[in-house]
Amino acid sequence: MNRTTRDRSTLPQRALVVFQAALSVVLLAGAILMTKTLTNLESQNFGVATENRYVLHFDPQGAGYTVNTLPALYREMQDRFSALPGIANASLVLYSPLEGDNWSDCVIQQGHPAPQHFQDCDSTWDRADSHFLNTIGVPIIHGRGITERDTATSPRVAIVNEAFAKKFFPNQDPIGAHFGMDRPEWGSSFEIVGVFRDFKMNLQYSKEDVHPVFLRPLEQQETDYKDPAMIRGETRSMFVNAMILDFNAAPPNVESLVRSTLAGINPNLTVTDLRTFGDQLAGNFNEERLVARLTGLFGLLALALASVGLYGVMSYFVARRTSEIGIRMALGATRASVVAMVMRGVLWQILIGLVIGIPAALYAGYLMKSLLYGVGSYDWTALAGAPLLLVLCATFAGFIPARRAASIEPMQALRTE
Amino acid sequence: MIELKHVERSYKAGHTETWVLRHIGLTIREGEFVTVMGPSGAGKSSLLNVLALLDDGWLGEYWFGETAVHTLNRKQRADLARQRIGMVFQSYHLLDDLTVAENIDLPLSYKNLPAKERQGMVADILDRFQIVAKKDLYPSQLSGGQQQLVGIARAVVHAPPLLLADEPTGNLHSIQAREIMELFCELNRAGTTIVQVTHSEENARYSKRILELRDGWLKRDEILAPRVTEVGAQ
Repeated sequence: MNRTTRDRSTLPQRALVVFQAALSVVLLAGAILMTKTLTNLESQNFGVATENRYVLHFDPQGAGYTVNTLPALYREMQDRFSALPGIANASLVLYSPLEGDNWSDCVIQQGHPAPQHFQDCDSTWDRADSHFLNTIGVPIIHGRGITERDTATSPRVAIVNEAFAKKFFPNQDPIGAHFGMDRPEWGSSFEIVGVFRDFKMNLQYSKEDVHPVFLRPLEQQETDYKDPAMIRGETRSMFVNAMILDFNAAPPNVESLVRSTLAGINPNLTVTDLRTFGDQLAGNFNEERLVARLTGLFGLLALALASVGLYGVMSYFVARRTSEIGIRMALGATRASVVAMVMRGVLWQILIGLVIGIPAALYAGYLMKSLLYGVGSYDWTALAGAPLLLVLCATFAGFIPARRAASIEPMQALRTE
Repeated sequence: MIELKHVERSYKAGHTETWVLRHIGLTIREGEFVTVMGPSGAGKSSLLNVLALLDDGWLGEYWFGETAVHTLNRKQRADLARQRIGMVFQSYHLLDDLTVAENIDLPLSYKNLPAKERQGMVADILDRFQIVAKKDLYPSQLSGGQQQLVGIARAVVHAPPLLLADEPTGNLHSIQAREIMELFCELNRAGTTIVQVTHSEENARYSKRILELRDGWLKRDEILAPRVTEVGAQ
């Protein structure tokens, strides 16, 4: 005769809602961590100036140039591009900073034996002209930079960054020191003539620390190598791939200007890529951006599923318990207390979801540790933000059936079987 | 205690309006035991719902003591009902998930009373209705008569001056029905004003006054002579 029913039949639905709530907390917390990581990565100090700067990529080897004809090409490119309207600096470089590619070799200081296999002797290296550091806004802090006088016939020199000096010449002045690449017999290949301020040349070694870098003049070729692979590599390195253009104020037609200027030098010399220096930097984080967007999307999807599920379960709850709600109202329950009764059901499910979801989010953060930058795996904004978002959405989703329950007419509800 | 003046109630279905209460004028004094009778569809339950303040859709004047119910808003009517009216249902309407004691406590839980005071009130009523042994049982473990006993205990636990009962013995056999009606008489003697709806002439004889409704109209209002058995019992 009693019209109220136990709600055990909704247990599987409630369990599913709890699971969805827990999952949404994990995904939302992950999304917050990845979004903060992305923001930190993009807003970090790379040590270079990007404003009004463009990076042009081209392929001199594909256009038929040889090592012997390259110096003339580089001079003509310098002359032509330096004459563009509004240009402040134009510099040629084998690989531009943070383009996602560069060369690395083992550095061996003059007089040092070959490093043991466990010793880290790795350094990034690049070729650049005398304008390069100026173009990207990096100052020389000790010694000198590469100059026009560092030609094919002058002594082979290199300039190094602070990280290089610290790693290979700790507690000493590196100016005048010699080093080489890969083998002790070439340990005197280059003389260090200057130290420049650290900037991020690449991110593949570490998102946080600056990797050691040394720069060599465009035209200086090591001719003492006997190993064919070393000779091939040294020859290949003479063909620079990039030019950085620094405008006082970038003209609106940069692309056509660059294309026509390059075509004016040699029609076979084509632009393989042209983008702003800022876009090139941002391109380093496409993976992180994708992960942040995907986790965000899945997080919102899980949140929507949890909210819809909660709405469905609570609507079912209200429909099944219409008679009970009517009895309660007939016995003195106010509409507010009916809303509170339904919302208690909502919040219990969410609370259980949080009890499962928060530790799971902590563990997920721990697993994501290597993907994070500038944010701890136990970040409080993620751990508080995700549950808060869930509670807000769940409250909204639960409030609709709760209001519906509160609007039940007790007289009609008492007639409901 | 209660005065109705020209109370009317109708339901609209499409273009048709069906009247279930027509110009009801009625005075019920404190301490009365009134039975509302009439055939199905006569408007008995509609009248009870109006008196119980479960229905807001009526017209006319309704005075509950000095309170003009017709001027109150929905919340004020609910507050008045919570404080001064107890309701007994034909189908008992106990909550399955709650024990006997919890069911009886239900109306008190909506009255902002301290838990200790509520426990005392529930214990008193359990004792008074002699159902202490059943306080931890669930409704499904009780007979129909016992369930209705719990339903009445729940209705009177907060000592309302007005008890309304809609076919309180409709689902009970005659012996149980008699026990329930004796209980109503006892409550009435203790000062509770009772209005019951019933089809049963036998049950009606326990009351002091009979109202008869037909097609929404109040057709008969008769004061009954005191029952011989009742006098004898006293």
